Amino acid sequence: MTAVLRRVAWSIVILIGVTWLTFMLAFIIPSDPARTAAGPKADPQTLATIRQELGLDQPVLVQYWRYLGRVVRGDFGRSYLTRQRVLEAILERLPATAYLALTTFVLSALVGVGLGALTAIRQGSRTDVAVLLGSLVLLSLPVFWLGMVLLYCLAYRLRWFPLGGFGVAHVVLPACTLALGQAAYYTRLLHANLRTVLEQEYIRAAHAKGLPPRSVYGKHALRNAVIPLVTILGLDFAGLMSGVVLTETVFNWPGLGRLAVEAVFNQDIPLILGTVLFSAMLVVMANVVVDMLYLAIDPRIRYHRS
Amino acid sequence: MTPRPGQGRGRHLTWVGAAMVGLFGLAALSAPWLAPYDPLRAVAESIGEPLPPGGGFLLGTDELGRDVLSRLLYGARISLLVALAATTITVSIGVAVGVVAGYLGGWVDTLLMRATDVVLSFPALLLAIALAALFEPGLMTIFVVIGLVSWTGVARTVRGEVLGLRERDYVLAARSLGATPGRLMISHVLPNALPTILVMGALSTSNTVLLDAGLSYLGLGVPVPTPSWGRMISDSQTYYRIAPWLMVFPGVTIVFAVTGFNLLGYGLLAWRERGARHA
Repeated sequence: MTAVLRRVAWSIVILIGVTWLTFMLAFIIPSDPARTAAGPKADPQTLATIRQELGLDQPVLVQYWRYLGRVVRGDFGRSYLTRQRVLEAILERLPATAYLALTTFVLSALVGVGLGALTAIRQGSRTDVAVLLGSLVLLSLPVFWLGMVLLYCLAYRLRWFPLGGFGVAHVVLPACTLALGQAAYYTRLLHANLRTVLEQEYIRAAHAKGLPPRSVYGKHALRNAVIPLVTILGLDFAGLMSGVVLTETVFNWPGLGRLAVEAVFNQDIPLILGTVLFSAMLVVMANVVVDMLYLAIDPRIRYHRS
Repeated sequence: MTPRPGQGRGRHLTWVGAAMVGLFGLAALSAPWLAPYDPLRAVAESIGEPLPPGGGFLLGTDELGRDVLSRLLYGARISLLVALAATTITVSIGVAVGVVAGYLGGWVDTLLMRATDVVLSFPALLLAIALAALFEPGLMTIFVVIGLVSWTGVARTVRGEVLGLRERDYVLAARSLGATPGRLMISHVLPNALPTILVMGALSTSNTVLLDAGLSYLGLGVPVPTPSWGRMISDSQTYYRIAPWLMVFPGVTIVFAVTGFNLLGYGLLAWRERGARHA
């Protein structure tokens, strides 16, 4: 229980750091934060009102305290262009991104664990070397380019998938685009984990007592090799979001990433900073959830801590 | 650990990576002599209709009648410049944070590592986009933006390395001779962390090239008309049905450069680990 509390406490510290960083982006870097909040076309009177509202004449810490208060209440400011509340705009786009991210996760976990296990068991075989090289190349692909190549080959040439838009058939290509790189990464990690596990005494014991290989690898080895993967899922989520921004742009996918890119094109700073803050908060929460999961599924850590 | 059969090949891959990186650097440096045409000027007569590879243009021309090969070669210069400058910033911040946190420990370590966690919580590309939107567009902005969002991995790895190094006898000896913490860090800990820093440098460079490509794909890279690989890909999106080569070639060059740095980095890493085991 204390382990859980400690992690929650640290994640609150991280969240405060995250808001401080976005606060600096919004209020310290720009020469005129009021203009940043109101847009380049705002008239002097609006600017004066905003200065008053944001308390820009106050000391920095007071400003930050007010900013934190607004963020906690879900007030991320308003978009320049549409005057829509930033949080509202984000929540409208969130389901599409969640759909894409979940599909990607399932695909990449399945492929990564499968290939990782296969290559670790057949260490040094031709399959192993081919998968190793393949995963290195996949990790070196710019995700947006991979997306365009898949789009050209599978959607435009072969017409297996739609060219763009939102739906069940539409999610396949963007999810594959994101999943290929992720799967390569999981393959390498699982491979390394499984190799370590396979050298343990209990695996030799399992072989020695005459268990069939399928049960030794599947039951004893794989379960222990998959557990450490869970810890990196939280941090991976940040990397996945970076890929989401590019992939959504290629496929015209109506999610959070494209919202951010559109905001950049419109120089809509409150909307950009809103998506940045929101994604960072998502990542922190994802990390907490992952830590809990890890505590729940690996008794070694629980007993070790208490 | 028992030796793995795959390791013999590992060494070859390091050399393959080094050769790829060398080729990339050479192409970038000698672009003015290698490029058959001016990368900025329309050299084909068919403006508005890209010419396929072959004939007078080895890799074809783009929609403005510019030679793709020449643009790729000049694009390599920008990629190389960004790769070197931004990675230098990344590694400098990461090493400074990692060495100080790992060596001093205590509350300094806690503070710096939590700060690292904070930056790690931001999706790198999103944070980079936000920073790029706030600053004036230009090369300097790209260097700084990439440096600011990608130092965390280096910091964590270097800290881990320093934690081990500071317990070594020679550090203890220097400390008992009265060396100051600053001197200990710079002259005793840092040089011994160099192999790790080198590996992290190679691996960060591949990350830098990808980030730079992503930023220029989104239109936040070097301003037009300077050729950049990411921008060439995003420009090709309009013409991919009639001129797929515009999309293929810049992608291949990015993959080539990034794979080179990755092979070099992972190769050096494997090499180092073997060395550590034999020592």
